[in-house]
Amino acid sequence: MKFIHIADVHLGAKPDKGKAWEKERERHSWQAFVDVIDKAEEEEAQLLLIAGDLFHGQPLLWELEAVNGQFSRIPKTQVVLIAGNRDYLGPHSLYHTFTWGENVSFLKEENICMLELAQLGVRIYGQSYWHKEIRRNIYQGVQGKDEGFFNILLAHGGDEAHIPFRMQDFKDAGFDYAALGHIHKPMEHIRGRVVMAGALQPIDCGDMGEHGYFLVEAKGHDCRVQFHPLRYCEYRPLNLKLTDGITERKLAEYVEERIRQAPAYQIFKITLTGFGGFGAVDGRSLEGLGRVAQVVNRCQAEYDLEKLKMQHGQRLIGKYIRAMETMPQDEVAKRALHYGVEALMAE
Amino acid sequence: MKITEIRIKNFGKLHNINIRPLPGLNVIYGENETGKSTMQRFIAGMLFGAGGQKESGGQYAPWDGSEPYAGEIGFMSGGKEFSLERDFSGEGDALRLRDGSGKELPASQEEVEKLFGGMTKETYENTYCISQAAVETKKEFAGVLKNYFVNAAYGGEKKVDVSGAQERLREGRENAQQRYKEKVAARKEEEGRLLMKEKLLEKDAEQIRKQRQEGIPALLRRKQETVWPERETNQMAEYLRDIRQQNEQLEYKVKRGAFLAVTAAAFFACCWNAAAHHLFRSPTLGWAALEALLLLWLAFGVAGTVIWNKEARRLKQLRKEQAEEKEAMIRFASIEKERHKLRERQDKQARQEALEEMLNTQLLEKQAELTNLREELAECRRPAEDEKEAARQVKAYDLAYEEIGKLSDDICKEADPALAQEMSRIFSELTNGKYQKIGLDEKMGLVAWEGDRRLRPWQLSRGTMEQMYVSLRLGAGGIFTGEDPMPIILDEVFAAFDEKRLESTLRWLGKQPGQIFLFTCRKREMEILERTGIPYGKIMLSR
Repeated sequence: MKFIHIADVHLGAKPDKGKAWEKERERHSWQAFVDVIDKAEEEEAQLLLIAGDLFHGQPLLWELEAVNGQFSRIPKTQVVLIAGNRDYLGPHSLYHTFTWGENVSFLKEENICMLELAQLGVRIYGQSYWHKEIRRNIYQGVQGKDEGFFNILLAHGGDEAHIPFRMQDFKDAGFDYAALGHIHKPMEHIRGRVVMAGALQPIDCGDMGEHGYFLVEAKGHDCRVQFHPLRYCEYRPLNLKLTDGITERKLAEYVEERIRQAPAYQIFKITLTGFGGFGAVDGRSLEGLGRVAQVVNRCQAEYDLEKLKMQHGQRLIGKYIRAMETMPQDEVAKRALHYGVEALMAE
Repeated sequence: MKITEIRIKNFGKLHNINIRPLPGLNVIYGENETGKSTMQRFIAGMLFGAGGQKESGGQYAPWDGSEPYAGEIGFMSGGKEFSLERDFSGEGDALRLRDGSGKELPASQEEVEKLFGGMTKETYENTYCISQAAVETKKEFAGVLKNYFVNAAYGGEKKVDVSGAQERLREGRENAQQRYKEKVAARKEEEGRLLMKEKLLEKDAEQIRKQRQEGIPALLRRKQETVWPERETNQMAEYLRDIRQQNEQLEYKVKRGAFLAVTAAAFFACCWNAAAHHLFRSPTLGWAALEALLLLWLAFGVAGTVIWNKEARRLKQLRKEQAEEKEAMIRFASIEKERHKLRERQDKQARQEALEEMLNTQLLEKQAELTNLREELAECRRPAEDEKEAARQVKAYDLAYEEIGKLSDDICKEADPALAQEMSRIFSELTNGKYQKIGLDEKMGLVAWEGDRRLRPWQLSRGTMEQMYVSLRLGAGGIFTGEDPMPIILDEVFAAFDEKRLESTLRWLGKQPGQIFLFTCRKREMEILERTGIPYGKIMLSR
């Protein structure tokens, strides 16, 4: 049996708001979704598993109809989906009344239920979110029964507010394959067994690296899992350590060249580190360059605080470092330490 | 550090002057307009530069550009001889430094200041270089003092500029604050846009709700323009047919009656003829012929009656059928009407249901949109990482600023007693013990104590205030230069001092180990010095 596992398609998401490529980004989730349907047809996958958050928010009627229309293109593929924390079944959800096509099974129960697809010899366990959060690990103790079926768990969550399960929980729970969603980073947590599909395409610039779908071939109770990236958009970190003599202009030219050389689908998140001096170079001009989603300026003189403390024991710098170090080490105190040292050490 | 020789080539009104001051007290006497202030400026300029043409405005440059605008001083520092030459005509006061043997040394202002015990122009101007016009220390001096304490109290190679550091932090804060404001403004704008959208959506939803409540009854009230499926009839034709049929029936009846009458008449005639024949028993041919004729007549009457009767019956039957048909038709029509009514009701209900469903779906859709929008709003209200970062930075700059201020104040407080002690000692001597104690407050402002009373400089007489500042300057200067103090320049500082105060001041000055240049336009200082036998060098300036 061959099946495709996706999650967190986030149809209707609007990433990179305010950027020049905002409109383009809005289309990516739909394009990627249609690609997956094409792939399911091409690969003749018997099953398409969607582990929650197919929509970025509450689905609209036209969106449901469009999705259903896409599903109808693959009548030989059984589609099984659940609602995640974003497209949860709220009291007004259109999920409640929408009628899906014949090949689509929506596990909309709030409690874990089981769907048996006898012709495929598959049993799928899963549930849908009825609220934005589920803080209880409802999968604890859930077992797939080996009655000659291939058991699949379709689940969405994995952090504190969204069913705090751990990957290890599913190791000996009797499931041949745990098709997970919610965490946006795609990862095969337990080889051939427990897979977090990740977002189909990145939703914000925190979703670094490749995104796509998993194609799984099951033989008996074993699975061969293959990740297939879809490249409409990919966020890449670009960490630059500034050195003496750099100017804002030179920096911008360098970044521009790096972007020019990179594939067109890549968008960058730039982090500046190193000795930046005071305000002279702060990377603000980079934000205006194309395909730069975010610039984080962590330029702080990287002083060796221990050495400074030794050198300036009882003097202001030494006293300052010690005073700041005795404060609760939150983000503000950490920065204040650096700012102060930098200001005091400046010539 | 002591000046051993002053050679002025051209500086203001002073030309080609050579002076060899004493290592102790020197009085430079001259009437007004003889160049005392110029001399004082020259000494300060030689030590720290005149700031080039720009700063001095070329005030002391010779009128004739061909003359050198320059000078030279010889001085002792750390027991070694040096000579320092400066050319004031350029932008940067070109300087040449030689040691005692005439060997040229690498010369920069920093190198020279090292020989002055690290004293800078700013510090010098605020301590040892005192003129009557500006005996008070400048505002920045508080910062200078703070820096001094922070650095010097523990002696280190790396000098820290506290006020500079705080200035840098303030700048950093401004930048961060600016960024923060921009981010917040952008977010607020977006929030406003979303709120507007929310309002519109809510309005839409409200309207749909209203339609659902009001719209359906309204729809039901609306008159249906139904065309009933009437049987296709021509009432006029029917009416005409009825009239015609009635006439026909009447005609038939009349005809039947006529024939009946004819038949009856024939019968009576026959009977009458037969009776008459029987009575008269005279069968004649005529009678027989009459009888036969009568019988024929009778037969004709009967036949006519039968025919017309039949005809009338047929018509009656036809009319009856027609009436039944009509009745059936009416009955059928009413059933049809009923059925139609039912269908109409069903249609109406279906329409209502469809409408309701449509409105419900629309409402759900609006509600879904609203949910999504509210989610977006909530997200928008959550500050983004870069905004939070900017806010953190502002806070961090504030924290660093405060902490550095607090720590440097602490350090100053610790170091303060040494300065306060020195200042108090000088002040006490200058005032002949009238005031025992002066010091600095937390803002580095001067305070004097008279018993427990805390006095600010402006609460005291001009003379006392000047003595306070002189004490501060000399006390601080002593601490700044330590063992090898810089020469003290006093330019008409004691003009407001009475004889007594001046004498005690001069006595104190005479005891000082450092070099002193006392500029005056009066002879009384020299008189007192001579009267009290304090050794001093006399330098007379004349027009």
